[in-house]
Amino acid sequence: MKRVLLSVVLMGLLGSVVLGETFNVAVVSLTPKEGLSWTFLHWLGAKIAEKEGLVDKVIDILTSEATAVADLTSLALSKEYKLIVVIGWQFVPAVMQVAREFPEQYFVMTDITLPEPMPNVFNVLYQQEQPSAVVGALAAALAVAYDMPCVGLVLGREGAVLHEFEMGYKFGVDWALQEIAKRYPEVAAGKKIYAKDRTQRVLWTYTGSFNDPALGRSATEAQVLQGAGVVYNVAGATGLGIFSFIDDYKTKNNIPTTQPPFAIGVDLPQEWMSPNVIISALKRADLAVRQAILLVRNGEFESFVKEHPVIWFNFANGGMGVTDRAALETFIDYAVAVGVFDPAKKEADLENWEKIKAAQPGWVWEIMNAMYQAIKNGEVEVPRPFGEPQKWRIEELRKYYG
Amino acid sequence: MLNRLALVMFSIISALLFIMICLLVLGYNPLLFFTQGLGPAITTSRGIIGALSLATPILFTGLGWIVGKKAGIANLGLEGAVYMSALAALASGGLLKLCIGFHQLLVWLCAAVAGAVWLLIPAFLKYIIGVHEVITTLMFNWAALYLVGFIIIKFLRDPAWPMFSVQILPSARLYPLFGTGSATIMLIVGIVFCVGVQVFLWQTRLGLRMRATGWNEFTARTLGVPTSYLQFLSFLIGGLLGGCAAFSLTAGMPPYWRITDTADLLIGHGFNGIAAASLALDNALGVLPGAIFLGIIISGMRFAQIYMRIPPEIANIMTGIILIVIALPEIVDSIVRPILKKREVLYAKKS
Repeated sequence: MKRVLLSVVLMGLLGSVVLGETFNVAVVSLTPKEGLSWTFLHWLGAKIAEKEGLVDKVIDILTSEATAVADLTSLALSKEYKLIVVIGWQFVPAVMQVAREFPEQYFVMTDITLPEPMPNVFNVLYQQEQPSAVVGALAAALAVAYDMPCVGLVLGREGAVLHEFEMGYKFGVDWALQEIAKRYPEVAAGKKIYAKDRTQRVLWTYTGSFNDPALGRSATEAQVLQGAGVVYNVAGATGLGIFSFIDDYKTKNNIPTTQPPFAIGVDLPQEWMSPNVIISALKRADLAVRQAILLVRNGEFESFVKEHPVIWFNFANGGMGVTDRAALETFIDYAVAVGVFDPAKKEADLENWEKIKAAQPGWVWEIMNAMYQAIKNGEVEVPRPFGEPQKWRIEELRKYYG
Repeated sequence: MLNRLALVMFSIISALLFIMICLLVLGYNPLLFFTQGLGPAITTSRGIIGALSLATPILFTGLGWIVGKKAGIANLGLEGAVYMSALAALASGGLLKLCIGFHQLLVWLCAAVAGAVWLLIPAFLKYIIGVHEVITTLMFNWAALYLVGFIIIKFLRDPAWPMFSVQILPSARLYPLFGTGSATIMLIVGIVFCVGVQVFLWQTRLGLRMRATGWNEFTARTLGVPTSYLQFLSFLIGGLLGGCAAFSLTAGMPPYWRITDTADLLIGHGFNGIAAASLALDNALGVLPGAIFLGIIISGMRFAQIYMRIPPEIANIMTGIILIVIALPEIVDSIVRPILKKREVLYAKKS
């Protein structure tokens, strides 16, 4: 799978066919890209391709379930957009209908399996429970290092995809605590988080919105005041409230960035959005969009989709991950290129991130890396509440993990 | 009446002028809005069907608002009634296996009754504790929205597609009148209801008493009109109409015939009804053109977003401003005027 992805990217880079006609991309979503999270990441993938000359123009369209069919039909009828990226599993029925009606129009659909494979739809699924488990392991290790009684998790609206983030994080916390007790018993001895029942170690809140930073802020405040030293953002633009609360809290209490509370970003490296983001769980939707663009440019879209009706993005093929320096630098450069980040702050941001990392005990990163390797090597399987076949149920998982 | 008509025309013209000024400031040709935005919405079959599809649920919520208004109630709870009615429609339409025809009627009945039952709660709170319906209905809208998510996730989830509710079965579905879109037989039903509500309000004794209650509750009560009962009844009728809107949004919405756990498909129709009622000058027959006008505006904005490449945020802001401007006279009339009237009566009593 990784070889397939790599070869497509290389072919695209080395021998892109220059199309005689314009190549525009439409990014259609429910939430605006200004949330700097999921929608932004798809848009970023297309926008970077535009900057590199792979596409001519990128537009973003906000739609809703009621108008999705009409909007997608209008886009297809205009014949101006070679590729339509649709973000939001809510739109699957609309995409299926329009894709059937316009077989020559190409689509990208993410985060949900199509009920039947479509030859003109690039269907991408993500194993978000994997990076969630890794950042959960880091959160647990930090809780032990700083003797915090719990860790936090702020989510958007409850649903199947978010259940996988939730369970991955809780699994990672639990796994890491067991691993720390095994490897470093002297570190684990007497720590508050071990005194808590498993079901009380992760404070989690579904805010009900992906677009309300005020809700994210108040949920974070409640968790931090209950002792959560790390808060994982799984809430899109609502997560901006997590960052703003932690920034203000640390400023008000004169806490340096190298000390908790920390935030954990999601989807893309969000370290550039706040100096208190210690790591991010990456869900590389930008790569998915880029791959689709290259396939269209090379005239290989339909043959690729026929051979791979569903593409899984996970640790094994680099479609999911956690922030490292290279990823952070790349995304800061992307953000500068599309005008949402001041290039003068780049070095300071990178320096701050290195400082935060260096300030934590080495064993914290060992535990996180151990989780990463265990998942990548297949030694552990992170529960997926809605995997196929369904092996786990969210209700039973919550009884165990909280 | 002429004053109100002038106010509505002023609202529409102001809204359109505002759009043109916004577009000019942002560097777009404002005239293109009429050719590439509103134009396709009214000159293409796709646009017209889209406008009628958007207008169908607004028709019912607009009527629900008017009935409440005539009885002196600001029924802002139609939004919540739509949410709860949708749950009833999904449960009865997705979990029961019945024959076509009977199944459709049953789902419709369940949706209508659920909407009425939901609005009983704010009605009781008004008449037993005296809480103003504006407060309770708005709060109940939020409660309904999150209750929908909870119930779908816990009880009405499609196991194959866990982020969606169960799907309305084919025997309970409403099919498009024009081959595409979601303008179903409920559009025809809505037109019939417009006539029905108008006849009820203006040709029946009960309707007369309801209007008397809305004109001056104190005087009506003094003359022996059972104002509390009539206002209660207006809540129920509003809920029934909200249920009709929900029925059209669930059983009459291809290719979904279901909602997500975030209920995005349902959001806003209750409040859009207020805008339609405002355009209709609180006349039940006027709700049809009012709802269609709103459908055209919303549809037009979508075309403008795609063909003029207006940023989606700007398109949404402009849509929102239009709806506020159009609905504002109605909201002021429904909430501010009754308060001023009450003060006049209290002042008259004191002096």
